[in-house]
This record gives sequence, structure tokens and C-alpha cells, in this order.
Amino acid sequence: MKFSMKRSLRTAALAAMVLTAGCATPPTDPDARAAYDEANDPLEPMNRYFFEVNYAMDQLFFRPIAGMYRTGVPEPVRDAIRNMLRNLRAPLIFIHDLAQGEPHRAGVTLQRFALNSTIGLGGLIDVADELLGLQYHDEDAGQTLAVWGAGESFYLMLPFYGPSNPRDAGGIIIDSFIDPVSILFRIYGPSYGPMARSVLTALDARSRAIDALDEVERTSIDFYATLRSLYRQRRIDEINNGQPSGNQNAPTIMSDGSSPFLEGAPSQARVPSAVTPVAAPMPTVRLAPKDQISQRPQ
Amino acid sequence: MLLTRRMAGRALIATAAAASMLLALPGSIGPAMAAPADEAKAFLQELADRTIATLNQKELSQPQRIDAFRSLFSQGFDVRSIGQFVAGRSWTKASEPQKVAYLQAFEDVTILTWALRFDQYAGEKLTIDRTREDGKAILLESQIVRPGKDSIRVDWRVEKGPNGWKILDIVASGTSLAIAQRADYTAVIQQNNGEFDGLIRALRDKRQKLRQQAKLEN
Repeated sequence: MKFSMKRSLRTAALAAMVLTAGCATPPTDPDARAAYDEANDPLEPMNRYFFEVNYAMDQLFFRPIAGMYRTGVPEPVRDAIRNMLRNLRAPLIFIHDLAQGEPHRAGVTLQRFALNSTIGLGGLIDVADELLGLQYHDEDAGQTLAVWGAGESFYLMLPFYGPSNPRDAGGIIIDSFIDPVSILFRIYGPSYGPMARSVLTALDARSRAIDALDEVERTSIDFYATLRSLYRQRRIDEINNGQPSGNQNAPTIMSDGSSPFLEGAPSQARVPSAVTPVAAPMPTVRLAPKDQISQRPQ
Repeated sequence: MLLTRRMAGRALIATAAAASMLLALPGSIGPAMAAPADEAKAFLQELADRTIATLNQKELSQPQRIDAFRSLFSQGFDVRSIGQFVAGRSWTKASEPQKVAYLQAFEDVTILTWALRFDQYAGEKLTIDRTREDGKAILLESQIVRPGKDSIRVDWRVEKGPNGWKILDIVASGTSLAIAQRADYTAVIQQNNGEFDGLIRALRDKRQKLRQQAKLEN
């Protein structure tokens, strides 16, 4: 008893240490503070650590395996596998459609499930989409919680799973309990069913994201921060079912099209090179001096 | 001397601008009364068509393609306004030389990034489904159909400025590129103890890497 008490105390102390070490200290500078609040990532040091681990694992195992799957398995087969996986999700999606007060979408999910499970050969062919244009949509417990008013709280990088937040992470756990297909697997088996389904789902998702993720990594400077923003935006879009939320700010054309900071410079230089007239000669890229890749009015 | 020359230059421009406005005014009340949304749509469709036409020119070398893309890109996008937005809060605190250096690097990186993706656009088709207004901007909701892949939903944020219609943001499946990029750059500045120069350095490194990828280094 005494021993276990000591042990749990030690565990608690360790947990507290990890959490404190994982916490970022909010900056005092107002601009830095605003950026900190916008990132909404108080556990950033810890999250970045898990991101590095996930990234290493991904580059070593998951991405190569997903790549082999993509090249080794013909596209029609991969599409059939995805159709089947999506069909297995239909009962869960139906529950969430209803829980979110979307009877029309629930109807679509129900019709899709009925058609694809039968005529679609157990979900292998998405006949509902191909014949009737009843398109697939996804839902999960994280989205339902959001519709019910739960915020994301803060950003969370889950080991193995990747970008998330407390709400969506909780959603994953809820879904594992309420998913009708998971329950059926547990009652009737086969025992390898849930595992096979999870592996295939991960494989399908990763293989389809290869190009997009490579691209984000290639074009970004801070891959972690870019993914954080993309994940957050994607979730908002999913929660709103693709409808514009309309409260995000966006770039706008600067009032007069000139660059305010070049005030007083010769007028030629005030024409932004990005908007030079169509008739301007094509800039040469290859022969440009080292620090400039194009010729532009100086 | 320099000052007077500059002032004379400005006076000339002002006169020319006034003259062109006087000349243009009566005409603009006439037949050219297309709705802004239609104008925006025509602008994007035309840009897409020209991009496809350039893509179909198989005889172009890599540097020529990048040139062609740079030109298309310059006509289509307001890179400076985008650059200013994605710099985030740091923009107001940056010095003039920093701003110039940043915009230069940003523009180069942006254009090289897109130009290197050029091959991927082959066979893609753009259809504009809907338009909606958002303040000064018009959002063109489109589908991009890609051979052998799922089609993607892309919204184009366009605005009419003194240099005509310009694209300001691309929103793919609800994710805004400008917002993601601003998050990226803000983090880079943060990681560099809030120094704007850290971002400029990072962009210059990126430019160097992209140039090597494009094999433009000699």
C-alpha cells in the first residue's frame, strides 16, 4: 500500500514535470502575445517534440509503405477498398448526421448505405454516387461536439495520430465506443476485424495524402506551424460541412496599388513588379545575378 | 535637381491620369456595365485558359516554362498585397529596407514554388460553379477536376484594384493558403526571437533551395 502510494506520487510528479516542460511561457510583448494567442498552442514544446517523433516514424515506415501501396495496388482496387471502408463508416456517420440535426444529410447517408451494401456489392462500388449523385460525406464525434458548442480548447499533437485537440481526441474515443460496426465486430468477430479496418483506413488516408503533404513540407518554412493552421482550418470546414463561415480575415488589395513604403522613390519603382503590364518583356531567370531571379525595374 | 525631376515626373503622371480618366468616363457608362462577379469570372477563366495553353506548349524548356509562368502569375496575382498580409503583425514594425527585402524574397519564393508545380497542372480542368461577394472581394467557387485523382473544391478570392482583377487567396477545401502561410511566417519570426530578419533569412534560404530544384543555378 505504502509502496503503491509512493509510486503513484512519483508518477504524478513526473506527469507534472512533463507538462511544465511542455508548456510554453506566454510572451509579454503585445504583438508576440497576440501571435501566441492566435496559435492557441500552449503545449507547443511538447507538441513539437511529438511532431518530430511522428515525422520520423512517418518517413521511416508509414510514408514508404503507403507509397508501395499506391504503386503496387491498382487504382480501381484502392478505390474499391476506400468505398468499402467508407461504407463501414456509414452507420456512425448516420448517427452523427442526426445528432447534428441534419436530417437531409442523414437521409443521404442512409440511402448510400442501403444501395452500396446491396447493389454496390457490400460497399465495394459506390453506386449511390455514380448512379444517383449521392455524394459521400464524413462526420465524427469531434464534429458533433463542435456543433453542440464545444471549442477546440487548444492544439494537441497526438503521438501516432497527428494533429488534434482535446475535443477531437475525445471524439476519437467516443467513436470507438459508439460505432455500430465496431460493436458488431466485437460481438461477432472476426477478432482481427477492427485491426484490419484501422490499418486499411490509415493506409488509404496516408497514400492519398502523399502528394499534398510532400507539397506542404516543400513549400513551407515551419512545417509544424503550417500543418497546425491547415488542420485547424480543415476542421472548421468539416464542422461547417463545407459552408463558408465568413469570419476569417483575408488579404486585400492595398488601397492604391502602390507600395506605401517606397514613398519618395522614383515613380518607376513604385509600380509593383508583380503587376507589371502584360506587354512587359519576359524576365529572364537563368542569367540573372545571384541575388535576383528576375530583371525588374530598379 | 533630382527633386525637381521627380516632381515633374509626378506632375506628368497626374496629368496623364486625369486625361485618361476624362476620356474613360463617358465610355464606362455605356455598354461596359458587366456585373463585377461576371467580370471576375471572366478574368479567372481567361487566366486558366492561358495557363492551359502554356502547359500544352511541350517544346518549352524548364527556364522558359518558369518565365512563362512568372508572367502569368504576375498578371493573375497581387503578390505584394498577399506578401503584406502573410507577414502578419510584424509588418507594421518592420523597417522600410526590411519590407523591401522581404517582399523581394517572398515574390521570388512564391513564383518559383508555383512554377515548379507547373507540371502537376497538366490535364486539370477548372469549372467555376458559383460566385459570392465578401466585402470588396469576390469569391469564385470552383471545382478542379484532376485526371486520376479526386476533384478538389477551390475558392478564388479576387479583387479589382488599380491594375485590374487580381487573385489574393486560394482556398482549397476550406483551407486558405494565405492564412496557413501567415501562420507559417509568424512561427518563423517567433522562433527567431521576434526578429523580422529571421523570416527574411529563411525566405532567402528557401529561394536558394528552390532555385537548385529548378536547376537555375549555374
